[in-house]
Formats: sequence, structure tokens, C-alpha cells
Amino acid sequence: MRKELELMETIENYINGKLSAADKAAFEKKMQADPQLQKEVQLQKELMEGITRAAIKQSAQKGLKKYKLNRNLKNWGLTGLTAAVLVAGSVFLYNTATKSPHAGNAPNELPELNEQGSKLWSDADKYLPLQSFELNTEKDTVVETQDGIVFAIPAHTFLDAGGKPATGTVQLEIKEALKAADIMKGGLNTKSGDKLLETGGMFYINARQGDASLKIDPKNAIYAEVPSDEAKPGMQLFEGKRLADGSIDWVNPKPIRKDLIPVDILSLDFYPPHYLDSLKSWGYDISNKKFTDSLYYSFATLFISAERAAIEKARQDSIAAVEAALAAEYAAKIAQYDSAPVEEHWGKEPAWDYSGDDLYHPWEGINPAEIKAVWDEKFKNTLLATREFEERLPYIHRTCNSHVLDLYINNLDKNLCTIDSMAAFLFSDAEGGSQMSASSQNPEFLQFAARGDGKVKNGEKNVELLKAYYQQKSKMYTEAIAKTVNEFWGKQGELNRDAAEKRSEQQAKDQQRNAENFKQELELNLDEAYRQLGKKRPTPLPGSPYGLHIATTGWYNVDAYVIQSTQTRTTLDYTDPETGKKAVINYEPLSVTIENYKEYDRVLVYLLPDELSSFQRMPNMNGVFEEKLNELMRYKLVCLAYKGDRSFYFSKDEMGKGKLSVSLIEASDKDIEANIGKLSKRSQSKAMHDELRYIDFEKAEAKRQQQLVKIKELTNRIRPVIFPCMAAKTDSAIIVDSVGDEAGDF
Amino acid sequence: MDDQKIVELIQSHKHDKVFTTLYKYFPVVKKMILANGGRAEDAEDIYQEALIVFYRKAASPGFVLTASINTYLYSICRFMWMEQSRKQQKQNFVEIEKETLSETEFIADIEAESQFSLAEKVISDLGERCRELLILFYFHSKKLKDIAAKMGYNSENTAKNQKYKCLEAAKNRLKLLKSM
Repeated sequence: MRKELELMETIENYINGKLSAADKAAFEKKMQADPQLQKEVQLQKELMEGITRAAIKQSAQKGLKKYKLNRNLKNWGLTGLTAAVLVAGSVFLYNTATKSPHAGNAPNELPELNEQGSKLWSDADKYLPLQSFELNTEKDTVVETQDGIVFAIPAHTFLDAGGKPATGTVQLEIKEALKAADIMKGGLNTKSGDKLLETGGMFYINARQGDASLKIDPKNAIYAEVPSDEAKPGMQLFEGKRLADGSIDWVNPKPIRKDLIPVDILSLDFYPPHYLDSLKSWGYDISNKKFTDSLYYSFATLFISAERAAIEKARQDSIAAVEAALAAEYAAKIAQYDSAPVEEHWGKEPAWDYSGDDLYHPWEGINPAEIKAVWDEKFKNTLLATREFEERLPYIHRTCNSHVLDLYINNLDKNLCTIDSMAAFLFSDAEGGSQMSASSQNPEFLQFAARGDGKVKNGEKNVELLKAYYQQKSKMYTEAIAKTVNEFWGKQGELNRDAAEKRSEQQAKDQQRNAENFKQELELNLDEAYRQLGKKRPTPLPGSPYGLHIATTGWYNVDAYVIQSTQTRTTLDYTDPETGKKAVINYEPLSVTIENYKEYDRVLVYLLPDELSSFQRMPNMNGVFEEKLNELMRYKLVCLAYKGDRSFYFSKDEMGKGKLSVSLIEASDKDIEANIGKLSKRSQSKAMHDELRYIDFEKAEAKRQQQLVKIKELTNRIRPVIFPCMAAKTDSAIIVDSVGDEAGDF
Repeated sequence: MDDQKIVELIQSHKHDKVFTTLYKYFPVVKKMILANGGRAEDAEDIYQEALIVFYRKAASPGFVLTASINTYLYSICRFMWMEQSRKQQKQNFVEIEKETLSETEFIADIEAESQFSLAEKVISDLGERCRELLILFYFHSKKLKDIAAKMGYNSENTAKNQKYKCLEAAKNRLKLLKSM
């Protein structure tokens, strides 16, 4: 051995502790002196690890192959593997090797007749080693050859000369040429006629019982898995024909179809690409299939017929017009009820913009109702219920062309790769037709086609029925969805109108209450004024409402001053010119501030004077509630505030002038009303009860509006994900409430 | 076959059966990777790496099982995929299994293994006969006599010579790759 190799031997012995103590010490001394040597040792150690790793990897790869095979076999119903056969085969192999050390080049002993019953044998037959396995025909068997070809042989798959399944044991003969060396040894070429082939491997297989060769039952074929480093598309299976000169010509190419294995169709993902990811990243729960389904399917409304779309649009335009008018009207009266500044949508209608495009054509996208029609147990065991189809779906979605989807659904009896090639050359013109073109419109499908994916076993039943089902259901679903969606928005429109009406009514009520309050307060003031002046109040002329001039000259001035004072809530200071007596009624300011005012959704402050039959609302001046109190009246104060679903309360029995800072306490609505009931007179507590009911209404309305806004936002956000071919449009899409509990059950 | 039996098989060098069995834990890992933006090939690659890491660990003398093999493999794959996919996308991770080990349990093992990937590549790139020879000798610990017979060498000595030649070729290649 060369010096370098000897060194490696030494290093190896050192690493493995095989050097004697003395040698070891010497070697280590050398290492210390020579950093180059250290490096060599290090490298060698590393190589050892590399070898280990490579070996483990090989084993793992084998394990993966077995795992895949077993998985496929399970699906095929092949169970009960006979491992014993394998062992027998490898023992045989080993024995041959030891018997003849030059086994490589001696020709094999061959039986007289080949598998076809003739005497012609080729060089490959003679020079490639035979691997022999004994098979029990009653059981399914898996056989693995030396180079790793795996054969899955179902029971009863070999037929005798009479065409009947062979029973008992048969001898399986296999020869393989996967490695270049074997190909050469067997004198095999890779030509078919004149054409040069690229080979993924060649093998010979035959079964004998006694001397006779058996045939393979075509209905019960053997499944072969040939190991290769990469799956090249376009691989075909050629039959070998023995030629007189001892070589083999390869003929009768059949494409190798990869059979599809159906899975539970509902476990696949038929949504447009990035649909679930997007929802997830916006914080929605994508495991809620009801939600994700109803949101996606609701977009089917975009595919209803043009005629219906026009009708729908007209209807929505009129709704929008009415609502716009009501909103404008209300906005004008809104000032009094305006409370916390955060409250923006109380009373304000969101302006739905229905002025979108035509709802029907041209809409570039896949109709979700079509997906809904096939994403269904009814299509289990068809090519739609396979991972392979699921792989294609994102691309189908991206073509935005319904005709591509239709191709797959309408051709369930064809090989998947055939449909792929059809899809590659498909284009549709705008009027709904579809045509094949000479050049590929959808080239990504060519890559799919090249994989040679085939069919699902026995998946060709009921193809026509399924086709009809699909067409029917798509239409049905589109209409049903459109109906549900329209009903939803119709209802919302109604609710909007009801709300507007209610607000009008409330306005009227408020005005009435204010007028009544004024009347009563005026009465009070006038009585007091006259009392102070020592005069008797004249009876008012019938039919002369307060607020107008009183047609009695003498007392005109007093009344006018009192009226004015009451109206403006300013102190009355009147001197009777005749008697010099004074009438003074003081109005003193009260200012109420609420702690943490900004944290509440709405805050309302009320004054309940003992002398009035109803309550007075304190005006809100930028978060500070101010009013002028009439010294003649005894006031109670009630403060209410709301945050989400929580209510807060404060009350004070004797409210005087000045400044008050109020700290609210959380309370239940029930307790609040009870407290108000105890605090005030019956008429007032009744009036407050009505007021509280109205507040509840406004709260519910605000919630509803908020939800509608959320729905609108979600729709707009998800639409470009579902329909990537359409640029983002405005809110011309209408969808079902999928956020609330009304998830449309189609 | 339970976890303990698997470890025993590994320690007695009976790997083929072991790996076939260990693939029964693959579907869950595949599910996790597919759910997080990966493809089937990614799942196979990552799982294979996890198997190698685990095998190495289990084959080392004095190894004691502290967690279930399933959890160990899953945790490693999850960690590796998170690392790999973070380069591609930044989204929230979809968890499939609730129980996973903390990084500290296996990060050292992963790193130790990753150091040998260059050496392994060098070995794998060797011609088939060289590779087979080296693996038979160093991994399967077959005797030179048997190897010579199996691979058709004239004598034991020839096999020995060949072995070192292959090693030398590998070493040189490794040196070259390392210097780049």
C-alpha cells in the first residue's frame, strides 16, 4: 500500500483505540508537533461520522419506501404480507454468491422454454442473475428484489394454461437491470427500434408452476415500484421482445399512469389560494367551517343572472335613496341627543354605496356555488376527492375561468393528465363559451399533465349522473344564496327604516316633554311672582297660550318678564312700578362633571324636580353638564352612563347649585330603575322608564350598525383574495351575515 | 412495537425494521408541515433528518428514553420547519400536536448532526461501489473477507486497499469543499 494509505490505516487504528500503548503515545506526540496531522485525524473522524450518516440515511430512505408501499397496499386491500418469501429469496441469493466467486460472468442455466413457450433466450436472460421467490397464491405477497424493485402481487393473480387461477405455490422468477453495470452485463440496450430511450430500469418477471410458465391475470395486475432517484415525467413501460441475436428490442410502450387514491373529500381544501391564511391573519377562527363556508359561498351572489342583477340594483338604489333622505332629516335634529363624543354612529346611517358595476358579466372568477356543489360527499371516490386534484385547485382558481373547473368536473371518467392537457389549451371568450386554442393559454397545466396522473380505481361509475347533479346544484345554490343574501339586506333595510321612525317619534316626545315642563315651570314662576308682588293672578284669556302676548295691559309686563326669565332661565328681578314691590326668582347655575367621562360610550344626566311631572335633561357642553336651577324647585339628580354592555349610575337626592364631580358606580339596569323609582315621583319614574327603554334601543341599534360595518369591511377585504382577477371594487357585493348567528344555512 | 423495543433494535444494529416502523409517526408531522405552508417533499426531508438525529442519539451508548419517540420526532420536525419556513413566510403557526418538547431537549442533537452533513454529502457523492464498501465496513462492521466475496474483489487485501483508496478520495474531496 502507498504511504498515504498506510497513514490512513494508522489514523484509523488510532481513532479506534487499536494502537498499542506505546504506539499511541508516539502518535500523539507526532500530532502535537504537526498541526497538519491533527487536521488529517480530524477529517478522518468527520468522514466516519459522514459514513454513519449516509448509512442511516439509506436505511431511512428504504423505510420511507416501505411505508409508502404499505400505505398504498392498504388502500388496495392487500394485506397479510408473507415476509417469509423475502427471506427465502435473499438466502438463495447469498448462497449463489458464495458458491461461485466469479458469479459475475458465468451464464445461468436456463430452463428449456421461456415464458412465452418458445426456446428463444436473450443475453440478458443468460447473464443477469436470477432471483427466485416461492409464492403462496392464496395470499397477497410483497416481494423486494436485491436492487429494491418492489412487487405487490395480489392473491390468485397467476393463471394457468386454461385461464384458471393457479393454486398452491408458484415460483416467481425475477431479473433486474437497474444499475449500469447490470445493463451492460446483460447486453441490454436502451433502444426501441431506432429510438434511443432513457431508462429508469429494466426487469424480467415470470411465474412458473413446475415447468410451465403462468400468465398474469389482466384484471388482477401486479403493482411494481421501481426505485429511481427522480420521477421523470413521460416515463413509459415497454415490453421486451427477444431478437435472434440475443438482444432485446423494446416495444409496445404504455404510459405509466399513477393511480389516484381517493381521500375524504371534506378533508381537502377547495378554497381559493390564501383564503384561509388571510382570514387567519386577520384574527378569524378558521376552524369554524360554517363561518368560512358561508363567507366564501356568499360571493355566489355575484353570479346571478344579469336580469335579476338589474332588478336587484334598482331595489337597492331605492333603499339607499330613502335611507339617505331619512339620515339627512335626522342629522338635523340630532343635536339634543348627542352625548359622548365617541359615539359616532348613534343616529348616523352608514352610506351603502350600491353604485357598483353590473353584477353579472364580465365577472372573472370561479363561482363559489360551483365549488359548493362538488365539495360534497356525493363526489367521493371520484378524481375530485384526491390530493392530486386538490393540488390543481389553486391553479384552477387562479385562472379565474369557470370553464377550467368545469373541464375537471365534466370529465370524471378520464385520466387526470388528459384533463390537464385539455385545461392547458383552453380559453374562454367572454360570452360564456369555451374553446381550445392552438397555443397553450394555461401553461402551468402542462406541467401537471406531464406527471401522468391517472384515475381513481373504479371511479368511473355514475359519471353522467354526477355531471347532471353538478350543473343542477350550482344553479340551485347560486339562486338560494342570492335569495338568502337579499333577504338579509332587505331585513337590514327594514330595520333601518324602523329605527328612523322610532327616532322621529322620540323627537316628538322630547319636544312635547319640553313644552310640558316649560308650562309647568312657568305656572310655578308666575304664581310665585304674583305672590311676591302681592297681587292676584289674572285668569288667562281662553285660547291664549303662554308664550304669546297677554292682552291685559296692566299685568302684561310682569308676565312678559316672567316668561322671558323662564325661557332663558335667568334670574327674574322685577320691580312693580306701581307699588315698588319686587319679584325675584333666582336661577343659579349647576355644573356636573363625570369622572372618566371619556371612557364611557354614552353619558346622560337628568334633573328630576319635585315640582314637575317629568324630568329635564341637562345639556352636555363638551363633557360638562350645565343647567340653571330654579330656586323654587327641589331637584334630584340622576346620572347614567354606558360602556359596552355595562351600565353605570349615580343619583343625588337634593341637588343644589354649584359644581359637582360625580363618580359613577356600576349597577344592573334593574337596580338602576328600582333606584330611580324610589327616588322620584311616579310620573317621573315612568317617564324615565320610557327614556331608559329608548336608550336600550339606541344601544342595540349601535351594535347592529357596528356589525354591519364589520361585515362590509370583511367582505371588501376578502373579495380580492377570492377573486384575484378583479381589481378591488367598491361595495357592490352583498353578503350574508357570517359574523353573527345568522350564518345562512343553505 | 413500543418505544423501548425500538430503542433496543437500534442499539442492536437492526435498523431496517426500525425505520419502517418509525414512519408510522410520519403522518402527523406531514400534516403539521402541510398546514404551515410546506409541501410533501419538505415533510419527507424534514422527517428524514429528524429520524437521523434520533437514530444517532438512540444508538449512542447509555441512551435512556426520557420522552416518547413520537413527541421527540414531532418536536424536532416542528422546530426545524419553523426555522426553515420563517425564511419564507411570517404567519402564525398552526399547531397539530399539543405536546412538544422544549428546544433544550434536542437542539444540541440537531446541531451535532448538522456538522456532519458536509461529510455525508462527500460520501454520498462517491461512486456507488466506494460508498457501498465504506458503509459495509464502517457501519455494518462486516469483515473484509465477507465484503470481498460480496463485492467480487479478488482477495481480502484488495478490498482493504480499495477501502483506503475510497477513503482517501473522500478525504480529498472533503478538504476541497471545506476550503471553498
